[in-house]
Amino acid sequence: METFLSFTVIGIVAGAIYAVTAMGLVVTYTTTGVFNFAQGAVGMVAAFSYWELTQSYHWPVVLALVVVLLVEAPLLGALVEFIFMRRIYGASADRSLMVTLGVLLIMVGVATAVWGQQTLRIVPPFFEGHEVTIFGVVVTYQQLLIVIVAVVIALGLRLYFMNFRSGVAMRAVVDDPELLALAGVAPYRVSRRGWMLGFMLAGLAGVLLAPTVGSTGLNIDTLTLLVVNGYAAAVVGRLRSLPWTFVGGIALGLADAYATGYLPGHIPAALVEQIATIIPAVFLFVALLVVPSARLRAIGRIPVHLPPKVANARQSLVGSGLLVVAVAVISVVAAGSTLATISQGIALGIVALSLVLLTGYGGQVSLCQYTFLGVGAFTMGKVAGGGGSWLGLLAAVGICAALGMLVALPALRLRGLYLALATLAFGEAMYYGFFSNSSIFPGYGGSITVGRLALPGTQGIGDRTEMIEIAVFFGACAIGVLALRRSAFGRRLVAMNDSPAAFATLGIDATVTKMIAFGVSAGMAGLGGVLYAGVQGSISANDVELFASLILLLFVSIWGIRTTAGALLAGLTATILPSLSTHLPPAWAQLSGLVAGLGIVLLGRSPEGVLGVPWLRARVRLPLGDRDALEPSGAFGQTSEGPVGVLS
Amino acid sequence: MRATILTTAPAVRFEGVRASYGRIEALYGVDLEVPAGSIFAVLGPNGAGKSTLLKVASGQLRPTAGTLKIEGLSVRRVSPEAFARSGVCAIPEGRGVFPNLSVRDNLSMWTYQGTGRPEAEERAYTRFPRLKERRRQLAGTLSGGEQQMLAIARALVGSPRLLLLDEISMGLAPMVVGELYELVAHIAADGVTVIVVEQFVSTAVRVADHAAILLHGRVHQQGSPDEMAEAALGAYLSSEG
Repeated sequence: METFLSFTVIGIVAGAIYAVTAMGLVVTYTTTGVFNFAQGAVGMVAAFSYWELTQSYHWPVVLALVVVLLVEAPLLGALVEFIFMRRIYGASADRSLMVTLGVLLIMVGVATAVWGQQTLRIVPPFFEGHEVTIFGVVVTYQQLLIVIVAVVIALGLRLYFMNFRSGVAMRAVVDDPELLALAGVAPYRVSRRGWMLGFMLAGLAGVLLAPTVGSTGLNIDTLTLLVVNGYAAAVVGRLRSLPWTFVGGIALGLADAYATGYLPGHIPAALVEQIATIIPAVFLFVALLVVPSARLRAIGRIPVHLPPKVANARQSLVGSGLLVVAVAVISVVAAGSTLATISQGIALGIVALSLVLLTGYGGQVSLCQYTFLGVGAFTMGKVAGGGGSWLGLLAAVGICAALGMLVALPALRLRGLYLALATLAFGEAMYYGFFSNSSIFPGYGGSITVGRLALPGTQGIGDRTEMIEIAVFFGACAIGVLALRRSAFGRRLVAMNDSPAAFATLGIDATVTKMIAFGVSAGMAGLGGVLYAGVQGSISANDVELFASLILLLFVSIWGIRTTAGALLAGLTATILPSLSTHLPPAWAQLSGLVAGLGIVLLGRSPEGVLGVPWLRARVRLPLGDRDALEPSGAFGQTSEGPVGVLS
Repeated sequence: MRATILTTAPAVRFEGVRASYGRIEALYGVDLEVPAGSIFAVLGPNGAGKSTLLKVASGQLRPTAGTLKIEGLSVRRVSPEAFARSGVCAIPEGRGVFPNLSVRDNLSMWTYQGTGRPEAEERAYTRFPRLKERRRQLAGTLSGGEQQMLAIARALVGSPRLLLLDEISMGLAPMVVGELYELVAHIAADGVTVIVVEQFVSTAVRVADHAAILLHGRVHQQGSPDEMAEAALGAYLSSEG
């Protein structure tokens, strides 16, 4: 009984922290219509700042708390609203989602630069040494504090939103910002308050979390992702109900505590830890499927803009041919690590192409493409002893396609944000449960050998030939993606993205369309993975980090998510930047994340990326036939400008 | 003090007002004078620029040329929320309420001119008892007529000087429309200037003091409501009989 009670205490305390961060998410979402993926990163920054002030500068705890929670966090929130969010007002839901991913990466990048050195940073507990015994269970003052804070926050927020006019206005702003202005409240002020409040709650969660991480000390990635777990709680609250979000947080904490506490004793400790890390992801996945998804609300209109012209068969053939020739020339000139970087870049370009199909055309945001990359490479490595065979390639593509459809299956009823969250949960579970599993990938950070794909009838393949081989695969995939886009299936995919409601009236099965898109896309990502791993000869958990999927997605969006050239450039950027950062001081370790983050926020709401910037469109003719024949006209001017004064 | 302003200058005056959405022009130089304390009906077919005219008058859309004068003062670079706080009450077409807020919360949003919440509810419920029954219900789940009552309750809760109504009869039963316009007349009798925009002529004209027909972003004709009702038949309603 006592064990049960102590697990309960642990669960409730962890749940209280999840609840605080999740309530912050809900506050931001209900007031701005934007789901803030950077919530965890804000908590991380707050935790590190708190450590810096109390441990480096020896400030008193209360003063540090005031500075971090009442000055730094709201200021950051106001800044993010002012610099990033206001620019994308009226943009599509995916775009605002990507901008918050960008903010996440920027924060991680900056934190790496500031606190990246391998210093052990331990935040001492609040009220160290004080504890009480409740029903025979020892409860520290810190645990009590966490729970009390969470309850007070929950009640306070509810009171504010229900009984104060400014609180009601925060709920009203998502409904109709223009009407809110007519009711005498400036919508942007309300949104800014939403960001500030959300950031304060994220910061609070981070500071409460900081002393509980134990002897391993503060870690940028873990802190950022730990708070990600709060997402599940927010989903239980259907992104709008604060009481249910609170319940969701506590439930998640308890599930985590009981599951790890009551595992049979013979399971090794390392595995227990792994299970503990998977549970939030599984919880999120289940919550997404079980909780009826609330109608997603997004401020703004459906953006209407001219997509890039889709290349015809001849153009795409010529484009791909030119690419292969260009790569052949480069393969002669380049050498050593440069060769490998470019080869891997083109291979990642194939993964990026899978996003062009799925996200660019189909509007389905996937945050787990690297999982398919990893699974593809793993399959290749396992088939015929180390892989390298065409059978391995087929197996890899097939297994990834099947896995992709499997992920799509539960995700079919999910759209937009929820789908993105589901793929994130899947990616997280696979990362911790599969790629970090030492019995599958032997040893610490273990890797599996992946052979290169030899040309038929030959043994082995050189670096240069391999590069050309990868370019040929990319060209073939690009031709395939463009052909798919021109086909009836492509039109269905785009129609489904444009207006799901209208699509449903056409008598076409959206389920089949979505599943095919997911399957093809995952298969293609698997192919990219096989080639990517072949260049370096192995695959390990390090290659499939969660952030990597986000970074690649952002790079494709930055270059142009509806163009095959954008995919190629994105793949190259995703390998060239990290290889550059190895020549820089360690503070720049997250260079590609920083660039991705800054790029996406600088791009604002230009929906077609760098390649879609009118100035560039008019002057640059890219291979692969993605050039645009049409100038964006002002016919839909309202969508880009919006009525003056609404949020200006 | 308000009375003196009202008697010395027209409540709203458009002088050569042009307005556009991006590159699409909607108003090509509108000249119109709305006398203080009157009900002014703006008639016209779809796309004539009627709603745009109200957006300009409520500060939601800034004119690209020309001047807007409210109570004799030239207004420029003023945000819509400032318009609202100074007594311009604009009720947009078809969506004058916050659908995901309860009736009570909607009413509390209407208290921006300093009316207390209980007072606001009192005023609204006295006029529309049906809203009281539904006070906990989400506004989006009310019937069209009830939503329009809730929207117009804004004029009762605050103390508007200028009321701008965009197609309040849209999609409503004739009985309800009659009821709403009766209220509009009542509000105007207290000295509030009202501009009503309607595509269909009958009801608006019955309560209006003046009317104008807008066609293709310009004032086509103006005069007494009856004359305009007649003229509208020739100008744009002819084919519908």
